[in-house]
Amino acid sequence: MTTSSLISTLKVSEERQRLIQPFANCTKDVFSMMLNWETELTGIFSMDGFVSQYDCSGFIGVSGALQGSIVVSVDQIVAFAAAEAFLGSRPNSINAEVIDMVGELTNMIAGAGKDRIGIAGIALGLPTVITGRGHTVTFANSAHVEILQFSSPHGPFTVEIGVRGLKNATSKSK
Amino acid sequence: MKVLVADDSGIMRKIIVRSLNSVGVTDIVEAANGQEAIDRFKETPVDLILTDWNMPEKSGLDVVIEVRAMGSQVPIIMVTTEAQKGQVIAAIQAGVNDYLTKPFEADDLRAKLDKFVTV
Repeated sequence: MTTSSLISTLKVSEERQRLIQPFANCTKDVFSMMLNWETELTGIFSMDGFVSQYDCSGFIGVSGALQGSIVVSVDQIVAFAAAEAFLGSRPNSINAEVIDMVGELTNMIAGAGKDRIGIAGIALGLPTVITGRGHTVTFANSAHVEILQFSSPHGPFTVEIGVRGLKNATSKSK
Repeated sequence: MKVLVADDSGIMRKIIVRSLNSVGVTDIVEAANGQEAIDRFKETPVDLILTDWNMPEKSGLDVVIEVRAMGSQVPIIMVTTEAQKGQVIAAIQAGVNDYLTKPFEADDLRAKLDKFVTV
């Protein structure tokens, strides 16, 4: 199912689409261009808090017109396969290179999503990576949270966007 | 030909180094942040700089501004997730010669390198 048809099937509101569509598209592009992986958006969830199911999460802070964070969470198996695709050799633990790779994937997804969302004045911080099975990702209560679930050839992963200010954010001039 | 590669991501530096190797460049200096890039540049003259924008200590834009303030005309390629028009203009005004946005395909990077690499 394509991103558009999934959004249509789930009857996602236009306001939510404004956030979901750019990040869904840029996530697919990052994995396709940098890893040569085909990924599919398989689910969209909107909630206030979320317990990550995966082993490794990359975070980037968002400030300016929107405030919050963007999180990319991957399972160890997906992280190892992605590191192998980047480096040519497969790691056997979540080492510094795997952490660096998750941080860079997060950086590229957040950066590309920021540009495609069409809102002026968004700034991103530097990526941080947290590891450990069962770690919890909790967004501020006032944040609008979208969790995008993807499938990849090596397993599922999520992109989580938790931001405030979406209603009042102005579009960029062309 | 000596090339300076500045990116706080070791993975991204490896990707760029691999691409440089593929076009025959093996004399490569690496820096993990903007200040380190400026320090390396002061120590060793290079023929090309590839720099990320968002780095700790000093940004890639700071690197460009400082390198140009030293009077150097070395070609600089900015390799970054920053793709908004205003930022591209700011980078070019600061003295960037070319601009590549992440994510990119290997061929995109090689095409940029082909413009500046003389081996």
